[in-house]
Amino acid sequence: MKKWQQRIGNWFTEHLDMPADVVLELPRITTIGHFHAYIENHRGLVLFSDNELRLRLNTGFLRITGESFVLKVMLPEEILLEGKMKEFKFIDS
Amino acid sequence: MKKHTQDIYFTGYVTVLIKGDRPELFFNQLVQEKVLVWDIIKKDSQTCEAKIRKQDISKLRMQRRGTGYKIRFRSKHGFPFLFTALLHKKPLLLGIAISILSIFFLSNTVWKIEVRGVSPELEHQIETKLDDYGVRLGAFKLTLGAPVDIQQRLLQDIPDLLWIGVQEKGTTYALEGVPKTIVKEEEQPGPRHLVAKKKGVIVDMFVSEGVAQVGVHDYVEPGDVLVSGLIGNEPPPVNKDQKDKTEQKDTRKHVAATGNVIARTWYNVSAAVPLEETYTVLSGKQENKYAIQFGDSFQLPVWGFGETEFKDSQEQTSVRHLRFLRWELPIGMGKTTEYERVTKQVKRTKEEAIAQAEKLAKQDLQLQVGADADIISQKILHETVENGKVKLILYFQVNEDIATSQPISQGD
Repeated sequence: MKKWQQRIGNWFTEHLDMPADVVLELPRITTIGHFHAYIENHRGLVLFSDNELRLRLNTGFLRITGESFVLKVMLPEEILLEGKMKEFKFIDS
Repeated sequence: MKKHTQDIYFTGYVTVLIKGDRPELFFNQLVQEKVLVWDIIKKDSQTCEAKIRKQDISKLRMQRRGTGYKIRFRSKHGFPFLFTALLHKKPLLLGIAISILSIFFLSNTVWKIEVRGVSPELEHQIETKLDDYGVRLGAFKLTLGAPVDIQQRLLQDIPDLLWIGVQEKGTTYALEGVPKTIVKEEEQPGPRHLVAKKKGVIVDMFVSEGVAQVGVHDYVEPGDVLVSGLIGNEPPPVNKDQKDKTEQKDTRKHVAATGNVIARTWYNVSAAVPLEETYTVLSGKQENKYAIQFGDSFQLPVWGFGETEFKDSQEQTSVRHLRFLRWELPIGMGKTTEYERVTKQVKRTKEEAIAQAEKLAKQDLQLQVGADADIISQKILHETVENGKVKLILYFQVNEDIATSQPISQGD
């Protein structure tokens, strides 16, 4: 079922030019330099500390590492992270 | 994103510490309940610091229940907290209240009375009167009458004042008076004749300077010379032949003719008086009402409630506003005075109407000829009654001074 949905979504983005994050319910990550990261469409916070942020995604997790992290804004599906970022890593579950 | 936190200062927000195992997970719960959370920092493995709005505190407590997390409030920010903090500082509040009150009282106090334009004696008189009315240094202004009232009372009480302007300039009363001055006679009038200004028969003459040209019982027309200002012999008529050679010098002395010339004059005066008349007068009864005035229209009565028992009345309202420094506050004291008005109806018989008309005509004439003139006799020439009115034409004889001065031109 899920595979099938994804295939339709893929077809939409390829043929109708629709943004991938909306159609496929994927996270959209916007970074400004290395000090701001704006993550939309996540599925919940898993871990947060001074040097690591881990978020649940539709498919797996997102792990951001760095220094002096502060969550500037936290909304149900959006997070604005501030700090010095070093690494973004997608982890499959 | 900043949008959420911009007005936060006015609603107030708090910094909380969340303690427990993996405290960051607690925010997942909060966010699902639409609690706005920002500036989350992980202090150590057991502690998270975050900021939430004041109105979300109860939601935070609800969510905490049964989770094992511990909440500690660290600091409060924003206007509501500042305000409550201020409320707890009683001496400060008291001080603010006292200072506002004192500014308020001082703004409504008379600080200075200036009297200008009058002599020191009159100034003293005015100041004594003002003191009687309560207008003195240190008086509370609200209890004093309006400047117009003060002006009227001063004019009534001090007969030497011709006019006085009373102006309220903040805490200062500025009075500017004009004393009555007796207009002095012209020091030295130039050479002049006295001529008649009306036609009449002379009954009495008194000449202090000049040469009388007419006698008692003479009839004079307007413009006739009564007293000449030229004293001395008239120069002999100039002979036409001699004119070129020697000009005869006019040796007459020029003086300012003065004197009174009383003459009998006569006047026709018509007067009409209705047989029936209605008019309204103020009976003299009055009632005062006091009210606190807010803004322009809203009044809260404090003294004198209900309708007066007057059937008909005339209202006079004056409002005095409280002041704060140099501003007039929209709060003031309103005074309404109601005067009873009575309608009177008069029915006259024909005889009464005639008597009234004669009286009116006589008054009218006296005004016209001046107070010095004597009305000698009067006679009804004609009387008619039409449209409910009595109309009279009266004939008056008057003794009055008909002399008026006319300057003598002395040539170039």
